[in-house]
Amino acid sequence: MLMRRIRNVRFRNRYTPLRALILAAALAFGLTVPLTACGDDSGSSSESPSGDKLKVALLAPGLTNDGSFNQVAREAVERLERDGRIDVDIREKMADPAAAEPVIREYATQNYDLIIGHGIELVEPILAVAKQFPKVHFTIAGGPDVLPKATTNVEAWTYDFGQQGYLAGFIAGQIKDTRTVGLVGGPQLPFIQAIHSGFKAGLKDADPSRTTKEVYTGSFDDVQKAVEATTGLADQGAQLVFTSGDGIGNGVASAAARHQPKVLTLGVTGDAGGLAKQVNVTSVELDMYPTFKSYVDRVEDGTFGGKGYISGLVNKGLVVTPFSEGASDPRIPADLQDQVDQLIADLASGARKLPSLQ
Amino acid sequence: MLTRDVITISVASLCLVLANCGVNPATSVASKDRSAALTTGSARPQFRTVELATLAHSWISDWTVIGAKTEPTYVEHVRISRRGDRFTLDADALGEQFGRTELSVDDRGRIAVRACPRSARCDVRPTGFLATVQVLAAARRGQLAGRAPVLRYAGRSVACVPADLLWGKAPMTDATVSTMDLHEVLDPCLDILTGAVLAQRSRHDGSFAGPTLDEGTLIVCDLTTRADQRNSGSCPQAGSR
Repeated sequence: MLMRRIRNVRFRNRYTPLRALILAAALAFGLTVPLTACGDDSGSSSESPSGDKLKVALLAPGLTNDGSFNQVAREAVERLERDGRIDVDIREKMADPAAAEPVIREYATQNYDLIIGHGIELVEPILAVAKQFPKVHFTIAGGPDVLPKATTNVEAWTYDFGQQGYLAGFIAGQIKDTRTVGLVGGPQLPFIQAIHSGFKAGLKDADPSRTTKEVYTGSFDDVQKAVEATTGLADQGAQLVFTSGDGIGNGVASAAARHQPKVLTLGVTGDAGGLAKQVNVTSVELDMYPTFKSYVDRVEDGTFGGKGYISGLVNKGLVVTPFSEGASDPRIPADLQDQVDQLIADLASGARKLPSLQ
Repeated sequence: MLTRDVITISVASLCLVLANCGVNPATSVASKDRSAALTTGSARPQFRTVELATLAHSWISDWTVIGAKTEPTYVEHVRISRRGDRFTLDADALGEQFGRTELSVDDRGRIAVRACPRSARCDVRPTGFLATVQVLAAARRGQLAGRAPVLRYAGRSVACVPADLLWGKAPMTDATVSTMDLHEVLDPCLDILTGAVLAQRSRHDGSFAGPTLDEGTLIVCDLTTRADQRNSGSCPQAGSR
């Protein structure tokens, strides 16, 4: 962690306003000038700092200690670094495409092997820069519509919303004495509906006798509506409530904890003010390590480019968070993790097939 | 290189507020990063507070706030704007647009829904990132009494409004839902200068949580001054949405 921060400072120091001005002037005259020619005293950019390790840059739209989308990317590159596969620079606050593009260009100019854009905000600037650096490898991230944007030196990433819901539904189906399961979503957007469809499919596969009741609050941000929705579902008999809307999870957890009898939840992310550990069994979240490792593998073996990568259950890009204290509830089977592991193993071996999650 | 954090203090609008919460305006404007949350010798932190009605009347009326709310599997991009008495909220995630919510509040504090996304449920009891409208409406009706602690979030001063002052034990809009307290979850934290909801503070542990804009992405555009428009390419021109 400390080492990475030092590298980041060193990188930022190289990107001075003067050098940005020089670069802008050079571009204005149709020239490309390696910034290392501008008085950089930190060594040649073409030299690998550590032998065979790939030089990787991770660009994140926000802060990588957010406990969320940005942090999972940082954790993945840190693990690859611990594996001895890469040396990495991390750049945060890259949400503004106009500000991100010169940063991407500088990494490319410095012959970085792989530049990872972890956020939909970075798609356009990466595609723009990638055209000019055909020997540098880039990745973009977003929804399913990002996949066709892969080019010979760009790979695209998304994740399978249906499988995210399927795993949560499968887990819901293992929890005892929960005949009625509630679903609380935010806006009725296609990707949210896909998660809910997957959830129902997983629940049906695990226990076809369960029934579901579903409410969309219409907002990711209205916690009060999530409280209302969850309370309403609990009053209608739901003993377990799944939420696909992360921002409203605080409301779902709060209502579930206060309801008598207590309602269990699935999908509440973060600690929800300490409530998640009381009521939430687990959540299905991203693990970016398999994705980033596959990028590194393909860069090293020369097969990188033109591909779309979808995180799912079999490739372990979608995983369950550690079961919380709420998992000590007697309704939760002691072997729940084993059942999840078996599901993944069966899917990987072909012994079990996912239903159509469209 | 673009300046990412656009922080301009409108002196005229802030003087009234800061004077009301016991801060010397001249000092505060000169040192805008100074924390407004102070601790005393007691074990519990003592926050400065602001009188809410005065605060609501002091807000500038032409601004845009741009930010992102990061979640474990995606990032929601949020854009909140005020133009006079109209407030808009636009958001998207994973390339999918949510659509625009637009509310207005008149001089008598009546809220009207001007636009509502097809997938949403909008009512005249706005919460979330549009809680500002509820605060302003209550102030204009003369029904906003009380004070809010002033804290620091993302380098800015925010007033975290006790949610029960805004919504209390409101009647449910859905007849199937039982009556319950709505307020014991999160308090909206409103930017002192604009009134924009930047964060939510947990009633349970005091943390900023839930629908909170990531401080690394936050841009506040004060469109009442030209200076901000020069400072950030992300800020819209005055008069535009």
